[in-house]
Parts: sequence; structure tokens; C-alpha cells
Amino acid sequence: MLGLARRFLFEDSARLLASLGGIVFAVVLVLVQVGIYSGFVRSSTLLIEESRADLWIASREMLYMEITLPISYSWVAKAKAVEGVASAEPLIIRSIVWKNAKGLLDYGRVVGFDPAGTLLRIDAHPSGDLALVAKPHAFAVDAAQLREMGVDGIGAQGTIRSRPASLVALTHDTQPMISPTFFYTSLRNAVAWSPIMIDEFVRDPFLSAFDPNSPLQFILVGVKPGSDVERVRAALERALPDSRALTRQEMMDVTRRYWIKRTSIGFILGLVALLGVFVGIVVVAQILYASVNEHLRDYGTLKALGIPDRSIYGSIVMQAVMLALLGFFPGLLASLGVSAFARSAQGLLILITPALAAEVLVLTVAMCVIAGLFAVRRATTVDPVIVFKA
Amino acid sequence: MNDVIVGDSLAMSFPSKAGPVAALRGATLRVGRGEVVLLEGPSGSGKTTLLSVLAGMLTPTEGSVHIEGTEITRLSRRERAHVRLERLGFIFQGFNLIAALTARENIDLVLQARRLDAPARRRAIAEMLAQLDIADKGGRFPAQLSGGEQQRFAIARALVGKPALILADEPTSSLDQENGAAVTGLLCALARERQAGVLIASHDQRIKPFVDRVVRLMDGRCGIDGAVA
Repeated sequence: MLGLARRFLFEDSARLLASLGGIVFAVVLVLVQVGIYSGFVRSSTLLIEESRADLWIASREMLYMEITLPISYSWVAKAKAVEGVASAEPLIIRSIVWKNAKGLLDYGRVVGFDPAGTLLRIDAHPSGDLALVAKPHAFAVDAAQLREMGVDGIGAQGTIRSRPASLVALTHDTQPMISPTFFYTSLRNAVAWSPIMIDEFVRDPFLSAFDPNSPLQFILVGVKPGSDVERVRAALERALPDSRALTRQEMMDVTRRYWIKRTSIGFILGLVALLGVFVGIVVVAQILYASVNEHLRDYGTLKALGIPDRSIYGSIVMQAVMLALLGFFPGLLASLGVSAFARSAQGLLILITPALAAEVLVLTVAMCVIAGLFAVRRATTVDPVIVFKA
Repeated sequence: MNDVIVGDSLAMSFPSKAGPVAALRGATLRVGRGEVVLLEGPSGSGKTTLLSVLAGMLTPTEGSVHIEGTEITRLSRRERAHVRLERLGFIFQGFNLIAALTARENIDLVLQARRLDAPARRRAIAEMLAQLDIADKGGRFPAQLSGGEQQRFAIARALVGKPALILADEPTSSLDQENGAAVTGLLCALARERQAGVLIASHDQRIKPFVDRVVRLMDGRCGIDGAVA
């Protein structure tokens, strides 16, 4: 019956193209929406994922990477003293407002870290020299943020809290999609641009050493080779009351969960993807239903000849599966095109992984088979007696 | 003579707004192995209903149908379809070849459904097409064939599975005189050669010379059942 399914499917090229159009539309909608969602979730944890820290120490009240309460710098020394800890590096994440040379504003987060440290790896292949962020007034941003900041590239000048700021390097794939622009810089620069304590306001941190009284948001911890991470974690939490020590994976999970559960973005993108599936089902169902209607006499003949129902209905399902396969691959190509365009035009990460593509392929086949069932239902109503009516 | 089909006291009525309408009123009919029977009767006499009941497409209100000893009126819809596939062949008034398939593929459908392997199917089809003198036209689509050629392929599809009985509904109505006679002659000869019974429902008097017996259906009853003089 495969031959019959193929012939019925290909005998009307206009109908075939219409149904393929519907499937391609559905595939693109689902892949792009889920891709945006995956890209969004992934991008929210890029900084954590790229870090080399075995443990992230934060306030016990931390919600996720960007919403937490400050912790004391003195904890860095305490953490270093814990057995099994190889290194501990402070991390500051505070809110700022960037103003470019023409007065354009951009909301941002300053990410202050130790440029000489080893636990925060911002980018393996930066444009420019990332070590320069150690200098006063210097910072790096993700290349995708240049347009939002209103600057052209390295060398751009602006101010943060009326203090000069100079772009010295660009990173790639480090910026969460819906977070404010991340300004990567030294701890001193971070405090200078975003003072929150009296001391930080009155001193000029650009010219002085980092103030050990300045509060931090995180401490990144590297565990000595051979040490048990769980033991070190427990020891750190004992040594630092009111702290949480999370592994890198746990830190990523906490952050992803926040965006998935505390925002409706996953729901909205999922809804649009569902709409795509619904449209696909409707289009394919209509096309297959029309095809069965056109071939009622043929199906009646098959039934009259005694061809088993499972073979007859199977041929309709085969048509649905063939449509799914024929529509999926152009849809995948179109989605990859959309993804590449979004990346180059907006720096938007639409993450279409082989696993996602495989899942959407299965979904497309399921979608078409469900649509085919409507046509099968129509075919079940065909009475073989119609063959005796001329 | 061995009966391949026996329809006994068949009654069939259909619901209507004015109450049930009887299409068959105790019709009895049998066809023997290798026998060709013409079922004739005016329009509305119940020929189509009788064919549908004998083929197991309709379940009679009363009476029974036995095909090679199996009472199909007691079988499920699926089992009756299986009986049709394995033991019956059909020839329809409008040929009913599937337009999207080539003539050869139309014949192959039945053999595929009977789960014959590919070489056996190829052999059976080649033999059938050669007997009907249409071996060179198997790759054509029905629309590319004349009416006579289409009916030959329809006969090939009916006979290729070596059925016990062939049910033919007005097989000559779409053919001219010459083709009608030729096709009927061929059908009857091949059926007798294969010891298959044939029941032809038709108004066409040209068929009479080819049949062994004529059964006249009138008001849902088989009135005359006798050998052709």
C-alpha cells in the first residue's frame, strides 16, 4: 500500500505543495519558538557554564544569579582557609546605567571579577585584550550588545555614574538574552561605577586598592584536585553561616528555574509553538481529508475487493508520515536560516540542537499522523456498496 | 455440481420515512463451480442489493449466504472482507480501476493484500495479462486505456487471485457491442477454465449466449431459475 499512498500523495502537486507549506510553517514556528526558549534558558547561564568554579558561594536568600543579597568580602579569606579549597575569587554583580558619548542610555549590570584570577572564564576567544579590564575605567561587553549601547566597538567611550568608561575588549556568547548588558570589569572598577556604601562613595576606587569592606554577590571556589566537592561544600557552609554553596550545575539549575517559573516567557513561547502545531494539524488534516473525499470511490473499491481496513487506513497514515518527512527538512533548513539571521542581525540566540531537531521531527510525524486520523475517520465511513452504483 | 455460493431465502429491507422498504423478499440463488449465471431483472428489482448481500457487503435481514460452505452472514465485517479477498473477484460497471495506479499496479493490489511474495505476484500478473492479451499495456494508467482495455484489466484483477466466484455488475454497459461480446466471452472462458463460478448482473441480452443459466429477479424474488435453452 506504500505505492498507493505515494501515488495519492503526489498526484496533485498543488495540493501537495499546500500541505507542505503548512507543515513547513508549523515546523519553523515550533523550532524557532523552542529554539528561542532554549537559547534564552541557555544564555541565562552562559556565565556560570563558562566559569571554572566548582562551587558558587552566595547569600542564603539568593534567588538566582542576578538577584541576591550582598555577602562580606571577609568570606573570601574564610573560604580560602577551608580544607580542600584551592582558590576563592570574589564576584560583584551590580546595576548601573551606561551613557554613551552622544548621551544614549543603556541599563546594565557590572560584573566585577579578578582579571588575574582563573575561576571566571568570560571568553575563550575575545576580541581585544581582556586583561586590559584590570585598568581603571576599562570594561568589556559582549559583541552582540554594541548596538544597544550605541557604540561601534573597541575604543568606544562613555560614562557610568558620571565616571569615564572605556570599552577595551569584546566577548562572545556571554550575554543573557533578556538581562541588561553585562559590563565585565575589575572589582575596583565595578565598585567605582556602582557604589552602594558610604566608603565606596567617598573614596576613588580607581586610584586605591579594592576595599575589603565592599560587599560581594558571589565567591567562586575552586576545589583542590582529589578533594570531595560535597565535603568541601559542607565545610564551607559551616564556616560561612547564612551562605549557600552551590555546584556549577546547581547554580545553572537555580538560574534556569527562576526564568522558567518566575517569568511567563516559557509559557508564551510554548503557547506560540503549540499554535504552530495546531495550525499544522489543521492544514494537514484538511488536505488529507480533501484527498480522501476525492478518492471515496477508490477507497470503496478497495473495501469491496476485501483489502483489509488496516491496509487502507495505513495508506492514509503513510501519506501523513510522508508529508511529515517531506515538510520537516525544508522546515528545519528554514529555521536554521532564521536562526542565523537572528544571530547576525540581533545577536539573538536561537538554539536549534540536533536533539531538538530530532524531537521536532518526532513531533511533526505525530502531528501529521493525528491530522491523518481525521482523514482515516472519513475513510471509515465509506460503504463498499458504492462500487455497485455507476 | 459443487455450489460455490448459496443465497438462501434472502430478505433485505431499508428504513425510510414511510417505513421499511423491502429490496429482497426471500430470494434464493446458487452458483456452481465453473458455472456462469446471468442475473437479470428490471431496474429496482433488487439486483444490486442481492449482489451486495452475496458479497457480504450488506447483512440480510433474513436468510443466509454460504460461500464454499462458509456461512458469511454469521461472520464479522472484517471476516467477510477476508472472504471477499480470498474467494471472490469483482467486475464493476465503471471498471473501478484506481486512476492513480498503473493498470499492473491495480492488479497487484489484490495480490499484495493476499501477502504473496513479489516473484509470485509478478508471475501471476504476467500470466493473466498474457491470457487477456494486454501484456504490453500494464504500465499505462487507466486514463490511457480504452474502455475495452480497462475492462480486460478489471477482469485480470478479478481473476488473478484464483477466486471461487466472480461477481460482475453490468460488465458490458460501458462497452460497445464488439467489445462487450469479446470481454464477456473472455471472462466466461477464463472462469470456466479456472473452475470459478460467475454471477453476472446485467440487462444486456448479448450476454445470454455465454451463460449457463439465467436467474430473473422480480420484486426481490428470484422468479425464474433455469438453464438457458
